[in-house]
Amino acid sequence: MPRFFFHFISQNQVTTDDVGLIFPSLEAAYLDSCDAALEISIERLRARDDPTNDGIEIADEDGRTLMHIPFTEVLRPGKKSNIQAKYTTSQAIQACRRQMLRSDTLRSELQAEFEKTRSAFQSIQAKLAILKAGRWPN
Amino acid sequence: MLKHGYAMRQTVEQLLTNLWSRTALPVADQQALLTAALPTRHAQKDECLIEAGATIRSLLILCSGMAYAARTLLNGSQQIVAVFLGEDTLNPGELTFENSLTSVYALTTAVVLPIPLSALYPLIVDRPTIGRALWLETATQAAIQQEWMVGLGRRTAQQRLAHFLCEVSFRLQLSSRDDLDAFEFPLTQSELGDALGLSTVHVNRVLQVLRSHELIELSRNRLMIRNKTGLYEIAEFDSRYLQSVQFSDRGVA
Repeated sequence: MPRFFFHFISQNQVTTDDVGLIFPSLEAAYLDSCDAALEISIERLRARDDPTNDGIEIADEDGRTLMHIPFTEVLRPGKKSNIQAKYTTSQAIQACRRQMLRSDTLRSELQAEFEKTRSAFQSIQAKLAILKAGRWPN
Repeated sequence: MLKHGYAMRQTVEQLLTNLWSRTALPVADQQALLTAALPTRHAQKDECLIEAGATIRSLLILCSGMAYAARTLLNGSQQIVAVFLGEDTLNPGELTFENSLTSVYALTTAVVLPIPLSALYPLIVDRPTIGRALWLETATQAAIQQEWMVGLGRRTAQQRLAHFLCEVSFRLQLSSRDDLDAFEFPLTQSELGDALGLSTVHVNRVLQVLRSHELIELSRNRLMIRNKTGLYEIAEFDSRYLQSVQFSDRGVA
């Protein structure tokens, strides 16, 4: 998965991110940045600061700017963007994949248990047969 | 194989001595618990140790490694409600419920010791110190969660994250009985966000600020506290809630 870097722009000053974060896609990075923009805006408003000139810049590992998100974008609620819809779908698919993986694990566990039971049953049957024959090996 | 089994038992005994040192559990009670315990379970990182909704059959003690408890909401978002370190009990407060209320996942490879309730309940009746030890464990975990509640409700993102780092490093110090300033810290920034109610990008931003003030260094699963006084100050961290008073200190036998 790619690593993205999130530079913060506030009052014309850029705080550079030199660590970055791993996201499955640019869409996921964008949506998380929107959440962050909202959270930071609220904190700045509480402190009586103006967040409307702030923004987040998403860059790739080569330092190329991929996206710029002005805080005003999240401060003026509109309808859901395409990116958001696409992301919701991909999240749902991922959840399905996790469930399928889990079912597979459970099925193989059940199979193993079944095998164990069957072999125990076979050994009981064998012992019963010996008993019936009236002899017991010492 | 036998040798390995012996070594394992020794580790478990060592663990119980450590675990219950904070709850002042006499050796005889530790032995009684060990005798009642089922074989230890070895889990991989990310493995589910307790599944939400599953019937509770055992008290689980984390012998080594780290774990977290989480609730998943209908929209898929996750809230981490507790972080467990080595020697913590994973579900002391849940034993009174029929089904587990949260899921618990391993953050690292982990070893868990189960003590079945069928054996634990008679032990609590016969040996009141075991009951008290569980009471202390529950109270300690409640105090930690109360502090989280204060953070989620009232602290800024920076204070919240700083406080969490203070808490975890202090608890790691308590369990290692060492005044270390660098620890293994397996939580990702996304998991930190899930614990603190913040987006991952916001966690990243706050970590950068704490770094730039030379308070901490967090890289490659390692947390280093560079300026403990400064970090405690920002977080308004007071460690007293992590050092619960033992019954013997109060003159109660």
